[in-house]
Order: sequence, then C-alpha cells, then structure tokens
Amino acid sequence: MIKREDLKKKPIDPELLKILACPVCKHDLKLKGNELVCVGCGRRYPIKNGIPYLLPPELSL
Amino acid sequence: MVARKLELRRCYGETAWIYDQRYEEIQRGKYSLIFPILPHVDRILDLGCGSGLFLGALAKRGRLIVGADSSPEMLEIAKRRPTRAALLLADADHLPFADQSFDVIVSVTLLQNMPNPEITVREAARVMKLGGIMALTVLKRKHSPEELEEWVRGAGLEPLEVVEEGEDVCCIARR
Repeated sequence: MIKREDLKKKPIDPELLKILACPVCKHDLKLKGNELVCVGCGRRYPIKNGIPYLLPPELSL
Repeated sequence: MVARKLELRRCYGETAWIYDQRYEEIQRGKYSLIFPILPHVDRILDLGCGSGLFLGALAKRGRLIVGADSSPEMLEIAKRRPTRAALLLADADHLPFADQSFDVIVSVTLLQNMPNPEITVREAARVMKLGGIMALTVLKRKHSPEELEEWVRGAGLEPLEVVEEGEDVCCIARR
C-alpha cells in the first residue's frame, strides 16, 4: 500500500491505476503526464487537483 | 437521462458547502446499518461517496478504498478529510473500472437519484468480484423494497437481506 505522503508526489495511486478502465470502452488507462489515456479508444481524461475526471463525453467537465 | 444527471450535479455543486451540516447525522445513521456487516477485504468502492462521510470507517475494512461521485464540489470536501481513500469523478452508469475490481461496493442514498437505477445496479455488479458483497440503500418514499430487490436480482446478484429502517430500504446482496 502506498503511503499518504507518497501520494502527494504521484498524480495517481498505482493501486488504483491497476483497476481503472475507460468509462466508455472499458479498455485500460495509462498515465501520461497529468492525464489518463485510454489504450483502446484514445480518449483522454484529466486529473484535476489530484482527482481523476473519468466521465463519459456527454457529462464531461 | 443526461439532462437529469447534469441537473443533479448542479444541485449537489450548489449545496456541497452545507451538505454535512444538513445531512451528516442522517447519513451516519445509514452507515451504522451497513458497517457491521462489512467483511475485511482488499478493495472497497463507495459509489456516490458525496462529501466522503463514510470513507474513514470504510478504511477499517479494506486495503484500497475508492470514493466515486459525480460532483467535483463534493469530492473537494471529501479530499479535505483525513482519509487515505482514492477519489474520482465518475458517472455511476459508466464506471471507470475493469470487470470484477471490488470485493465490496456500498452505495448509500444514490439510486433514487439515478434516471434508471436498474442500469446503475447492473453496472455496479459488473465491477464487483464473484462472491463480493454489495450494500445498497434507497429512500422508501421513492422506491419499494420489492423494486430494490428486483434491480438486484436483475443484475445477477443474490439478495441476502432487505431491511426497512427509518426513511430507507437497505439491501445486502452477493454476486
């Protein structure tokens, strides 16, 4: 388990990243800079203030 | 369907600052119904975690705790809590998780806000492991115990217990 102080240095908890999937096509997501990118459809999801925004396009902010 | 979700997000966004003041006591009563039956597991999802009132308690039951909500304002409040839970913005009908990711899923007072709760329960069941436990509550004035049980069965889950308590119906189910 990653320590809380380490989380501040990483955009996303690696344990969480393992189970994340694209909300649209359900393929894996890869961390690229401060974004999560779907390896299937290529959709990009931002991480804002440490919170991944993983919304389908019709609800995206 | 989308318009209703956007409206709901707007409402929670506008009232996030006063949510705990208004609802903390009520919500904690609901959590006390569910918490004792939760096993110690690896991964727990709080679906519709709101301002994160339940996340601290859930951390005593799991290794990875994930709080998902559709309101960024509510998640900003959750982030200020002394919790190790991971937070993310998501739509409950389009969960950003691989199949069978969680051992336990709790969802308190979320379903009555969803346009089609049957779809929401099915999507939650998708991301729960075989043998996993799901705990759902809805407001009695919006939905009956029979409806809740029907959604659960429709998602391929086995209802273990359906109880009415105060303003809520609570269903514990297993996949």
